[in-house]
Amino acid sequence: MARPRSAGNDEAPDEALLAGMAVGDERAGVVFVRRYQRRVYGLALGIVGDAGMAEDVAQEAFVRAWAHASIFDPRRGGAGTWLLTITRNLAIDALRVRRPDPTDPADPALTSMASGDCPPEDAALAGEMRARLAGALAEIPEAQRRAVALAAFYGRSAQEIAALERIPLGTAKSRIRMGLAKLRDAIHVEEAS
Amino acid sequence: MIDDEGPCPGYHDALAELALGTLAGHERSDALEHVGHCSTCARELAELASIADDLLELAPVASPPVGFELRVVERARASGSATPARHPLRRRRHRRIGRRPASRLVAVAALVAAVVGAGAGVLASRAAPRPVPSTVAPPATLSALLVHRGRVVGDVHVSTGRTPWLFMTVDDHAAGARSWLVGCEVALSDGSTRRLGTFRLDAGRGSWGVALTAPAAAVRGALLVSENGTVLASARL
Repeated sequence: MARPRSAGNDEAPDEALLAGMAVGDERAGVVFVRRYQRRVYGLALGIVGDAGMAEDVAQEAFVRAWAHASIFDPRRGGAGTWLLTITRNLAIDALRVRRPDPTDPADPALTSMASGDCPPEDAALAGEMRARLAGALAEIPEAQRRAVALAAFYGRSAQEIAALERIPLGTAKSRIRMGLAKLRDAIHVEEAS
Repeated sequence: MIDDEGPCPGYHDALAELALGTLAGHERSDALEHVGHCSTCARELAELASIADDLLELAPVASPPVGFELRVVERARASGSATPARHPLRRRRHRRIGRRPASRLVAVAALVAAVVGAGAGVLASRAAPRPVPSTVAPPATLSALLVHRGRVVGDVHVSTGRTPWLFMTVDDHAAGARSWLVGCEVALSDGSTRRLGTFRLDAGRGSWGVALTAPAAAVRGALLVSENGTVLASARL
């Protein structure tokens, strides 16, 4: 049951590409970059809101992933999630250096991130999980959605969210907890059904 | 604690913030210590962390500036992670979009979005999507299914580039829950086999990659073997 494929194969799984990158295979790295560059750059741009800084962040995310490809463990999650987490952390670090004050709640990027909306072409590419999560996110109360988005995308602590939203710390913590728990429950209910 | 009671009362908030990576200081160390010995809270944390990770998938996608992949490769080379391809990366003649003007465009778009409303914000964050042209030759990779008595139990990928490598994935649902070491061998064109190394299968699942010491062109197949050398599955490349 051989399935030989010749040159020009862009279909190798992420783990295989990372294995190639771990031994310095430039071509495996290029395929990996092509596969994820729009998502990585899009996430970076959404967080930092500046095209130049977003490109720096996105490039650094790929370079970090390349350097650490040998220790990637697929049992702990997918390569895409791993890469996006690296991107998010780098973007937050870059943002904190440049803009130490918490993100303005009117920031349109935050609204975009937290809206749960994605254009049809994105939804078609995103897969079922993303569509379900976007639907669940759109269903939770706006205050909880904003709190979860500020924490998930911008790395804001409960203390920072409380200051930003001018609410008591306990309220900020509750919004984060309830919002995330509702997302989890919504996904689990859909999986069970 | 009892499983069906949910997470421990004092840790509801902390688990969510820990999952989102925003908990710090003594609260973080206290929560981490707790989940280290509370399986229910550990499971809750894993579930919430999975959702937190998945949220990143919701970020809008956007095309990076032209030449992005080339600049990533150059940085990877500079850091020593990448090895130049046999066929060098082909630079395309294009004028790179300057950073400052691009930044200003985004800033203007964001300002417009802030005035017009949230809907425009979505547009601002997805500004200027355009396809990124190919700048390198495609990679050469061979793939084959890993088969045990006619049943597919995984796959094998071999890159034939300047730095050849092999990657094997095993997912055998019939293997049971045990964890054990298996070996990976390649069958060469001269009829010999060569052991590349071992890796662990947990409940029939595992994956492993290695740089090839033999020329990729000489590799005719890959074998999954037990520790004593019994062939468990094979792939013909």
